[in-house]
Amino acid sequence: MNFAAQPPDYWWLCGGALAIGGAALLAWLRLAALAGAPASRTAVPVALLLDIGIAALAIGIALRWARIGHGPFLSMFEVLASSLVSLGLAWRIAASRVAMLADGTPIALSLLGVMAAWMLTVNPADTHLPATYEMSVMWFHILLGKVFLGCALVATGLAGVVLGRLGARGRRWFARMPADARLDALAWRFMLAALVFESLMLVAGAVWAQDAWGRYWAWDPLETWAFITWLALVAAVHARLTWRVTPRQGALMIVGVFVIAFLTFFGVPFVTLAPHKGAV
Amino acid sequence: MKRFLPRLASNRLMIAGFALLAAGTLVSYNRQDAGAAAVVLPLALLAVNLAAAIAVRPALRRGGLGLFHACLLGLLLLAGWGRLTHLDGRVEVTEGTSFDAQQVQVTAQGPWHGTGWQRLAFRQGPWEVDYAPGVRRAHTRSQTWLPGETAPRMVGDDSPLVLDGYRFYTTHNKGFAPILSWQADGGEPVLGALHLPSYPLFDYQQENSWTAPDGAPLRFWLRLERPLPEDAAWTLRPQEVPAVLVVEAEGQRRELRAGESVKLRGAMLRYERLAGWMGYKIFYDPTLVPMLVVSLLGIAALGWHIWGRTARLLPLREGAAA
Repeated sequence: MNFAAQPPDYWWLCGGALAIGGAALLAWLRLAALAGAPASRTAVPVALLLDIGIAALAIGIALRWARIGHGPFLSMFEVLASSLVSLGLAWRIAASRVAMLADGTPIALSLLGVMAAWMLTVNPADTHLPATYEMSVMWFHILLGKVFLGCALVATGLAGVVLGRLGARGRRWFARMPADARLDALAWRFMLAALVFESLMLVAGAVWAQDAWGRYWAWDPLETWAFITWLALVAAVHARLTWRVTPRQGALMIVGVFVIAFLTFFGVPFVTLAPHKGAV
Repeated sequence: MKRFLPRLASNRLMIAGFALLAAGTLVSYNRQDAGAAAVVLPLALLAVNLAAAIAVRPALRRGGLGLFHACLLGLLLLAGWGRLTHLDGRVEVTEGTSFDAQQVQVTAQGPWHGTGWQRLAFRQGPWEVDYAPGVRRAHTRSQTWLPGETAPRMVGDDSPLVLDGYRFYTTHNKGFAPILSWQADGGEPVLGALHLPSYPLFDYQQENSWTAPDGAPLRFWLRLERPLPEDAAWTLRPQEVPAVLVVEAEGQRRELRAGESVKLRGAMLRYERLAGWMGYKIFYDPTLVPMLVVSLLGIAALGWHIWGRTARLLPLREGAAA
C-alpha cells in the first residue's frame, strides 16, 4: 500500500484507531498501578483519550463520506471504523450514567483495541455503494444493530470483570467494583435491552431486504447468523431466568453471545459473496 | 392432559427447541439437500411449547410479557401460513408488449397458492438503467402501464409494482429486443420481438436464432457500434444504443439498420427498431404486512415488559439494589 497517496481521512481514521488502542493500554496500566485508588483519578485520562479517538474517527468518517459520497457501510475498514465510534460512544454513555462501570473500562476497551488494531491492517480502498444500500430503512437497520452491539459490549465488559475475578490479581484489580451478583444483575439488564434492539434490527433488516432484494428473509449467511445470534441471546436469557445460574456461569453465557454477535457483525459479511454484501 | 401440558410447556424443552433450531438452521444452510424439515420441525416444536406455556403459566398471559409471547406465537403461525400460500417467480417482458402469465417461471410456490397471478395485467414501457464506473449497476427505472391508467408506474429494484399483492421487482436480467416484422409475399405483416441474451452480462453474445413461419432458419447478431463504457458512469437505454442487426439467411449475411428491410425467398423481413426486455422477480406473500405489524407489536410489548427493569439503570446510584 502506498501510504503517501492516502487521503487525509485515512490518517484521521488511523489516528483515531491508535488513540483508542492507546486508551485500552492506558486503562490496563492504570488499573494495575492504581488499583484501589479513587475512581476519578484513574478514569479521566483514559476517558479523554477515548474521546479523542472517537472524535478523530468521526472526523475521518465525515471526510471520507464527503470524498466518496457514501457512509461507512461496506468494506471491513469502513465497518470497523464506524463500529469503533458507535461502540466507543455506547460505552462512554453507559459509563457516564452508571458509575460502577468505570473500572470495567479496560475489558470493554480491550475489545475496541482489538478492532482498532484490526482496522489498521485491512485494505482502506474506496468502495462503491450499490443501489440497494440507498434506502432509508437501512439506516434504522444499521443504527439498531449498533445499539444492540453497544448493549452487548457493556454487558460483556461487566461479565469480563466477573470472570477476571477468578484469579487473585483480578480480584485485586477489580476490588472496588460491586459484588459479582450486582454486576451480574446489571449485565443481564443490558442483555435484555440488547434483545429488544437485536429484535428490532432483524425486523428493520427484513423490511430492507424485502425491497432491496425482493424477499424479506432468504437464509443468506448474514441472516442465518443474525438469527442464530438472536436464538443464542433468547436461550441465554431464558436459561438465566429458569435455572440457578451463578454470576460466573451467567458471565460465560454473556461472553458466548457476544462472541457469536461479534462474528456475525465482523466475520460473516466479509467471507461470502452472498447478496447481503450488496453484490448486484 | 393436565400432567402432560406442563411437560410440554417446560423451559428445558424450550431450550432444547432453541438448540435444535440453531442446529437445523446451520445444517440447512450448509447442506442444500437438508430440506425445510430441519428448520420447520424445531419451529413447530417451539410453537407447541410456547402455546402450552401460555396455557399453563398465567404470567405469560399478562401485560407486556403476555403480549410479546402471543405475538411470537402469532408470528410462527403467520410464517407457516406464508409458506403455504407464497409464490416466487420470474418473468421477462418485452417493451411494448403485455405481461403474459404463461411466460412466468414459478421458482417456488406454497401448496395453497391459487392462480391469482394469471389474472394480472400490465404493459411494459421503456426502461433505463444507471451504471457507475466499472459497469456497476445502480438504479433501474422501468415504466409499466396498467389498464385504465393514464400515467405509467415507475418500477425499480427497490420500488416494486404491486398488483393484487404480487410484487414485481426489476432485476439485473434485462437486454435488447430488436422488433422485426415478417411479411410473406401477398400476406399480412407479422410483428414480433427477438429476445437477445442479458446485457451487459453477455456483452459479446448478443445473438439468437429464429425459424420463420415458412420454416426458413434465420440467425441474428446485434453488433453494438459503441464499446461498453467501463470507466465512466453511463445510462443504458436500449432505444438509444447504436447497433446494427446482422441477419444470416439463405447462406447470406446482411446488415440492417432500424427501418431497413431484406428480401428473402418468398417473404420480406424488416428490422423496425431496437427495444429492450426487462426481467422481473415476482414475490407474493399475504402475510408480509401482518408479520411486520405483529413483529413490531411484540417487540414493543417486550420493551414495555423490561422497561421497568432497565429504566432503573438511568441513573443507578452506588449502593442501590440492582
